[in-house]
Amino acid sequence: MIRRLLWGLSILVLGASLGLGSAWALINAPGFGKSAQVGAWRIDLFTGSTTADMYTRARIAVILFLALNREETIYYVASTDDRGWPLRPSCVYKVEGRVQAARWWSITAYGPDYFLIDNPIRRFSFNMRSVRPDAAGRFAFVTAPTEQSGNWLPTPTRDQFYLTYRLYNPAPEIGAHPERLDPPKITREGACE
Amino acid sequence: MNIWLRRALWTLLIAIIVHLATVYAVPRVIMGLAINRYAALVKLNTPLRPPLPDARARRVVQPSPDLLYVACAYDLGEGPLLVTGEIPDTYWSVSFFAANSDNFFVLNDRQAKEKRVRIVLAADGAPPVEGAQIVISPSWRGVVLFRTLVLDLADLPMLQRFQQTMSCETLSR
Repeated sequence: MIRRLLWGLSILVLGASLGLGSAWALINAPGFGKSAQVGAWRIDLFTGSTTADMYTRARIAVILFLALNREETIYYVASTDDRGWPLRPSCVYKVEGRVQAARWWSITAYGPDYFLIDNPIRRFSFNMRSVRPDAAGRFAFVTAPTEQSGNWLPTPTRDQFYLTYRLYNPAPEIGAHPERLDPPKITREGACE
Repeated sequence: MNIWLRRALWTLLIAIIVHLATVYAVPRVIMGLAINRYAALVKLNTPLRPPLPDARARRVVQPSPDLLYVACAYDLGEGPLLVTGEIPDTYWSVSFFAANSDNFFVLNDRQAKEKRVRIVLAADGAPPVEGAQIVISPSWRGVVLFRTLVLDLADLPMLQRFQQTMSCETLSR
């Protein structure tokens, strides 16, 4: 009797652990649910939507809680550079893109906990006002943990970080097909410290 | 049936049930925790007006440092919620989130017919309120979030005055 009870308990604990672990892994797995990869950026296509699948809904609650639906705002999140390598705190990255047809855009750096990164110049993002595009409509800035000349977006001195690209009130063609965007490129500059 | 096969099937069944229950529960639990946290700070159905987010803003993940927020955690069990505010000349929106975290309604400054907003949020029909738009919430509890874009820090004092006008209150039944 006690042996059966112990077996039952073991099965319960093992099953629950497998269920919890697999749920957490899939919630955090980029690409699970209705999402698309656009260059270095990943977009959950049904962010905020009342028709989102349950994995998308759970992931957005964890990493982009209270995000707007895509008719209002599109969120692209990068955890890697264009070559697919994780964004490392010891590296300098150049972020280069062209201005998109949206009312307003910004690119914000977040720490591994998805909160803003403390830094001495209190700069947390670049947006359509703070970085001037050239005559061809292209903009560029660098991310680094230490001060850089020009447009510098501070990143953490340790741990991975994320970049989130927001397009507020995007043009209808972007809203309809956010996966077709020509996104900003994220390229590593030089050797990492 | 082989006893090992039976044990494996039971383990798999429990894993599938726990997996699906966890994925289903995560957004609801996170929203529930957020509502309780707001309630501890300012009570339900009252506005919370934080400063422009910086590295100390740690209530909601991925805050935008360019947006001034006003949040209301609501519970319609106390009655419909009247949501009001004046709309500044910059990007502005008011959005409603259900208990499962879905963004079920959003209105921005370009969609608003006037420079002020008056919305009654109700779970099951609402008393008519003059000049107010009625929105039905799919859940009793949720969050209302105003966003105001701060393009230039020189505009912050003026936009903070607008922030003070953005509010929510329970309508008596």
